[in-house]
Parts: sequence; C-alpha cells; structure tokens
Amino acid sequence: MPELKEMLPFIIPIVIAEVILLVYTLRHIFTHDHYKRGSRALWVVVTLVGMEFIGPILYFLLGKEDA
Amino acid sequence: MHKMNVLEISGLEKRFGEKQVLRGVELTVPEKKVYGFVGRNGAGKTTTMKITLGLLEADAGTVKVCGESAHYGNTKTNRFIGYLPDVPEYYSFMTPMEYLKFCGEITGLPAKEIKTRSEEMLRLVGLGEEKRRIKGFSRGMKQRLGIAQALLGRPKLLICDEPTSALDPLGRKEILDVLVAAKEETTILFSTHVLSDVEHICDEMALLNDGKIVMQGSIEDVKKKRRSNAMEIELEKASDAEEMLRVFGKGQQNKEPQMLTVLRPGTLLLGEPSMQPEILRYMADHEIAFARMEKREATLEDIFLEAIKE
Amino acid sequence: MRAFLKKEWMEMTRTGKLLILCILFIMFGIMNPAIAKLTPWIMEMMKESIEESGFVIGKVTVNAMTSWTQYYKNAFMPVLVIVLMSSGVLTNEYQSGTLVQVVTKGLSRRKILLSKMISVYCTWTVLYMALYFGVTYVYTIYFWSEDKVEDLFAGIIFYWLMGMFILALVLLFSTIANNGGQVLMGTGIVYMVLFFLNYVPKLQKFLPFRLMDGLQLTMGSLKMEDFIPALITSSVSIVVCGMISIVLFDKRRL
Repeated sequence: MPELKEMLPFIIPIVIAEVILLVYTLRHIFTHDHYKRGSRALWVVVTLVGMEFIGPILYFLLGKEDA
Repeated sequence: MHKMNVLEISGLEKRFGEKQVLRGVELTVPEKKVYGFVGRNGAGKTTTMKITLGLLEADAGTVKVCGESAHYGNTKTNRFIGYLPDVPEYYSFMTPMEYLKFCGEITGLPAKEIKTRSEEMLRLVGLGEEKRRIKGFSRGMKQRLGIAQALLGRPKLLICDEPTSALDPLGRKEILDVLVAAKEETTILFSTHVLSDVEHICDEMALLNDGKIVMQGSIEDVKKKRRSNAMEIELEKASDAEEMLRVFGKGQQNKEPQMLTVLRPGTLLLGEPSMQPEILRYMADHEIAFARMEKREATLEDIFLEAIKE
Repeated sequence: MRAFLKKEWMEMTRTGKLLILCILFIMFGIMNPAIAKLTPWIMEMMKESIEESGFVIGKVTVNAMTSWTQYYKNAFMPVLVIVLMSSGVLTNEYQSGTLVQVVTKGLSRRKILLSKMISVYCTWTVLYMALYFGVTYVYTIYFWSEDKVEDLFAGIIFYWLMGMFILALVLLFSTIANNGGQVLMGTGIVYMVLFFLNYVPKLQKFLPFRLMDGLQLTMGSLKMEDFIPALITSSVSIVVCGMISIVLFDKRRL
C-alpha cells in the first residue's frame, strides 16, 4: 500500500462526495412516504450499509418514486 | 354587435387504422356560452378536441377558431385557446405559482401581468394559499390547477376534456362552480358523459354519437323538441300494475304498439295521451289506487338514449 | 424559450439529477489519477504470480501518461451515464403528457426541441470538460507536474465530440421512440452497426470511433490529420441528426 499521506488527495474528496450523497439520499427517503418498491426502513438500511455509493445509487435506481 | 362564432367545425373526419372515429362532425360554438359536448365514452369527443388543438391530424374537414383555421402541428390558433386535458399532468417539481409563471412566460405575457393574473386565477380555483409542490396534489387539485393555467392567458375559448369525470361529488361541484365563474370572461366548450353536469351549467349542447353530431342547440330547445306527452302512473300495489299491464299492455286488437309499459316495478308509463280517460275509467271501476300520476318531463337522459338509438 | 430552459434547469436541480451527475463525474475524474497512483502497488501485489509465469517486472514507473491512459480507458463511463440520464429527456414528457400543455400554450415545437438539445449538450459539455477532464487534469498536474504531454487537449476535445455524436443519436431517437428503453435500443443498434463497420480498415478513419483514440495522438502513433475525416463525419452527423430530429418532432404525436 502506498503511504496514506500520498493517497489523501484522493480520499478526502471521495469521502466528501460520499457524505453529500448519503445526506441527500437520507433526506430524500425521509421526505417521501412512497417508494417504487420496498419500505422506508429497508431503504435506510440499504443506504447505510452500502454507504460507499452503492446504497444511494440503488435507492435512486430502484426505490425512488417517479416524480 | 354581430355575434361571432368562436369555434366552427365542419365535415371533420378522422380514422384510426380500421376505426372511423369521426364521420363528418359539424359543430358551431357561439361566443360567451357554456357549451356541453356530450357523448358516450369513445364517441370521438377527445379526438375532436385534439384536432382543434392541432394535436391530431384530421383526414378531412376544417376547424376554425375565431375565424382562423387550425391545422396540425404548430397552430397559431392555439393562442385563442385554453386547454384542460382529461388527465392533466404538470411538472411535479414546481409549485402552482411557479407553474403558472412558466405558462405565462411561454405564452409571452408581460411579467407584471403574469404575477397579478396568476394570483387571481389561483384564488379563483381555490389554490391561492397552496405553497406545496404539485407532486402531492390530488386529482381534483390538479384539475383545478388545470383550469387556472388554461384561463391564464385570457383565452377566447376554454376547452375542457371531461373535467369532472374522475372526481368525487364534492370535487365535481367545485369544478362546475369554477367553470360557471369562468363563464364571465370566456366561452367554454366542455365534453362530458355526465348529463346532469350539462343540465347544471350549460347554455347549449351538442350530442356526438358514433362520430356524428346527432343533436345540437340550446338546452331548452333540445328538451322542447323531444317534449313527451307521456304520463307516469305509480300504483299503490304492484299486483295492480301487473293486472293493468295484462289488460292494456298488448294494445287493442294486438295491432297497435304497446301503450302501457313498465318503467319500474309498480310504475307504468302511458305513451298515448288519448288513452288517459279509458285508463282512468278502468282504474275507477276496479278500485285501483294510484300513488302518483304526473306528466313526464323528458330528461336529457331520455333524449340522449333516444338519440343514440336511431 | 428562456422559460423552457429555466424549467429544464429547475428540473435538473430539484429532482437531484444534477447533484448525482456531478458526483459521478467527479468520481470518474478522480479515479484516473488514483488508479495510476495505485498501479505500482497493484503490480507489487501481483508480482509473484506474474513472475511464476516467466515474466520479469522491472521497476514500474508511473507518470502523467499512466493517468491519461486511464482517462481514455474509462471515458466510456461518463458517456454511458449521460446517455442513460438523457434517454428520458423527451420520452418521459411524452409519457406524462406534460408537453401537450406546453404546445397548446403556444410554445413552438422547434423551440421545445432546441431547448432540450441545448440543455443536453450543455450538460455534457460542462460535466465532461469541467469535471471529468478538469478533475483528472488537476490531479495529474499536481502529482506529475514535470511530465510533458503532447497534444493533450485535442484528444480530449475529440472524445467530447464523440459524446456529442452519441447524444445527437439519443435526441434523434427521442423524437421517434415512446419510452427511454426504445431510445437506448435505437442508440445501441447504431452503435453496434458502427462498431462492426469499424472492422473495415478503409472506413476506420471516417467513423466517430476514431475520436476515442485521443491517446494515440498523445503518444504519437496517430497524427492530427488522421482525425480530420472522423471529425468531419461526426460534426456533419450531429447537424444532420439535429435537422432530422426537428422534422420528425414537428410531426410527432404528443
């Protein structure tokens, strides 16, 4: 593994993006009562477990109700 | 001043594949009227309206809006028209106010006018205080917003496609009230298959059946034309009704058409007024009591049913 | 038309599409230098298995070129994402019936289509240039500032044009199709046809696929003039697609 310090320029923005996406997704889940499939509890769990992008992306692809 | 016709449709024909939907529709809508466009589902009401708006191409015939002809695609006549589709959909991420602003801007209204007019219209339809986005709106709210956006540009003609059919009784009444209020400033053409709506708010009507207008005129005229002389006789006992039906039901010498028919159990309909004395005499002789006897008003429903039978 | 563009913008921001696109494009942009940076470590990990098979690896050197190689290798992902996002740009509105009201309000169909084109093309241009390219560029300069890279920008712009070409197809099919799936299918079929045509050596330099070979330009195995025919065919195709779209959209049932 290269030194952590050297990888920091990559890690920091990735973490920031993750956090933004996570907050945005959770806000979206909590402000909506209906989902294409699944329930609120399910999507919160999925989003938190798959925090590294995959959870939120899954939610927006499969769970988000069409506007 | 000479009264002009806001909409003149003549010889309109349209075919979808095998199905001939319109077979020469003739329709004239005079100014400042509420015009009911009646017909069964699938009679061709929506098709006629969509052709008027340039959303469909006619196979034959002409459509004139305020004297200018309308055609398929970009039609300039749309500037005269406000349109409320049967199931209106909006950009759900906007609020009603934003949506009206958007509508006003694409119509090219001046900014100041948009603001005052939007507020006025939203108040008219009872959405003045609504700050939520359209996403969460009910059918009735969407329908009302639809009227607001349709009236925004002060159209000469407001076309509403089945504005009440998907609504509950309360929602329906709200829409009808709004339409009556809108009558002050525009001509309204609205399609429906609900006849009571027509009776409530329309001045004139046309009946479309099987792709043709089978009846057209003011509500009174239409009713007068079909005024029936029939009597409704409701009897105290249902068994008496059966007896009378046995005696008079066949018609004399079995030649004439039935003069007495069953309307509902216990209620008979006398078609031939000249038979009245005879019937009454029979009832008196046989001590048959009646609960009610009255001249039957032709309802639009009767007229409608009769017209589409032909 | 301004109003319609404003509506497009509002839609992008309020539905969160823009946020998602930005995050994805930034991620794609970061990935390239990050993978380049990690290459020595990956090689180290796999050293044994590679040496077992008889190869000997010397010291792996990573430079700006490694990062740009990744850039071209991964550039299909931003294209794919923007295509997926744009496939519903018109079809969603057909399905919901929202355009009917816009048309009956008197906005001409051409202005609607033009607005859609502007918003799709602008989204792609800004996201690709500012985020995908921009992020990779900043990182690459930061880590390997001393490396000289030849003809970098030309290659970048070629790939951008390739994206524009695909989006022109997406918009063209959007005027015919009824749903996003059909748009993707149509675009996919044209892509496949071009892909097979690309096996004909004589055609290669005319096809838009050539525009993806910016790396060869940077490495010097292709010259600027090798791209000219493809540049011309692609630009002409974009314009022609646009014109056909306008004609079809004018006649389309909404």
